[in-house]
Amino acid sequence: MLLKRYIPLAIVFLVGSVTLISWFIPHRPFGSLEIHSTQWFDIIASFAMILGALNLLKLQGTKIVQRRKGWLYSVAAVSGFFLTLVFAFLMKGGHYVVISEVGSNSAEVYQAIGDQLNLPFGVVAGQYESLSENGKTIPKYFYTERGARAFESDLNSLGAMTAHQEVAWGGHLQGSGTYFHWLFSYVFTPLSATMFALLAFFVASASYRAFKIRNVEATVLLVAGVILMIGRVPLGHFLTSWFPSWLQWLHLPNLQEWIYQYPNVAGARAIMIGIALGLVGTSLRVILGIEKSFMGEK
Amino acid sequence: MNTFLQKLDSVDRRVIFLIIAVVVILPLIFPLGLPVEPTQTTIDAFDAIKAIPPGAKVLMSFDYGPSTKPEIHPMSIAVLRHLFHKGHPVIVMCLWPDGLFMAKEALDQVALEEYKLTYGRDFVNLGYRPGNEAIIKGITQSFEANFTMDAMGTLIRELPIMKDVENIDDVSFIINMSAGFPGAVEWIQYAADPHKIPMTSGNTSIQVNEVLPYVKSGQMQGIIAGMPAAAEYEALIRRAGMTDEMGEATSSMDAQSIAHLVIVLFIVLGNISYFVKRKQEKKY
Repeated sequence: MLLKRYIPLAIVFLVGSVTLISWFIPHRPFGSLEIHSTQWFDIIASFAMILGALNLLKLQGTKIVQRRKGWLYSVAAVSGFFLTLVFAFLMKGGHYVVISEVGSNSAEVYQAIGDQLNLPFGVVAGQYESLSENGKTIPKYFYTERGARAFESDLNSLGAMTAHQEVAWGGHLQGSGTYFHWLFSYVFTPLSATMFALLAFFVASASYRAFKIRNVEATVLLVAGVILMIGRVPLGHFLTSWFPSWLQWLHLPNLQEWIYQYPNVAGARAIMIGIALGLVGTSLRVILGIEKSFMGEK
Repeated sequence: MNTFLQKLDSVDRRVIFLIIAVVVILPLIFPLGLPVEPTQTTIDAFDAIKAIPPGAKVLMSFDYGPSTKPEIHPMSIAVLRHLFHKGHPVIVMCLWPDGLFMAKEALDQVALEEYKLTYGRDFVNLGYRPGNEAIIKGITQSFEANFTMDAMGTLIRELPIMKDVENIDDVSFIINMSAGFPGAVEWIQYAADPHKIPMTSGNTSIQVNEVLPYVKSGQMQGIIAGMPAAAEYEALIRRAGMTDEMGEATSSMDAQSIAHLVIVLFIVLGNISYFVKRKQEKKY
């Protein structure tokens, strides 16, 4: 009882009160306590990611083992998870070549670099004519060491002095030519964009079927929606830009701006204030130990 | 005629999908060149950035991912062009894990390719930290406590741009590019408003309702609201002579205009069909 009930309640009361007080008294000791508690939150948030990953594996794994409906999608999810993990922690890629001396066959070396970078001869010659002591990175990144070595040996055979290097661990999450970057750019990005883009089709279909003038409220909503949809885009400006000055208030971009800034903001404010009041109430209930659902109690 | 109008209500949704696909693709191939006229909220955001004192450091947070990239990324590009054109050092950070990649892409394009700036001196990418609004709250006290290293693994105390930057009070302006939580609202609540630092944001159209009350109350200086506002911002920096490029948002505006028009036509047709049906039902 003590461990499961009173200690968690005491921690919540203490942390909640300190954070609340520090908002009004941002001086010692509350100010510094607040900094520490936000840093603890950061650490806990990082661990929450691990818990999230384990939860994903547990849920999807159970689905696969029990061959539940749609278990193949779970295989895709788990494979994607492990592939990302491998590309983040085990396989890096990001091999590149640093050139320290062009050598006597400079024209051919520039040509070889230009072919790799898809740059004209003149641009490459300008960039690689004078090299610093540490050499210059050729910004062509290879997924495999073999690719970088092959390019390096091409340059060496032309008389250039080069060195093979790789993007550092950590930097590989952002670096070009790394497996992780490939996965993000060519798998995750198009998949996310596709999912979001599909909304346009569903919105069109749904508005066709559901946006009906059934009563006064629905009519107001529909008229406002149509004005916003047309007034927000350049077409709205194009359609009503010829209106004389005394009718400018009916110019669609002006009408949509008015709807946006007044009736819309009024509604949004009412909702926000309502939510804020609800939050204050709930937070106080949690801090005072009245609300215990976070401990699994009703 | 009446039967046709009644049948309109039960048209196969695949027909609607096909029409939408065609009206989106055609203007992308054959642009109409509809004029883009900036609205007041976009002008306010532009003016606020224009009014940042020369050489002042700006904090820019990339809180969006690939799903909303077509809508927000053009704003990021346009705003970065504006900032770098004015010569502001820009400190970039992310509260979304995939924001890191969005930031890198935008900085590579604008800072490195277009303006040939130096990393660490003219701009820095601090990267992503988990913790949402706790990170915002954290940097109001100390950047280094939350971002010991930048995204490239360099200690931030070794970066010239971070010299004299202890916490959020050492930046002159906050710009947030966000597609949800954590985003503009959290930046206002935990950093901009309590520390009295001017701020503006670029958001998805769907998020504007939530953010606009803060603009109206003066806690935020304008807002770049959705792709139309991104096109408007592109028009503003073009008119100011900062770039000659049309910009991605501007070139997508024709497609969005026609798509919106077609959706409105769908709504009108759907309602005609609804009324004809209702009339028939009353008759019998």
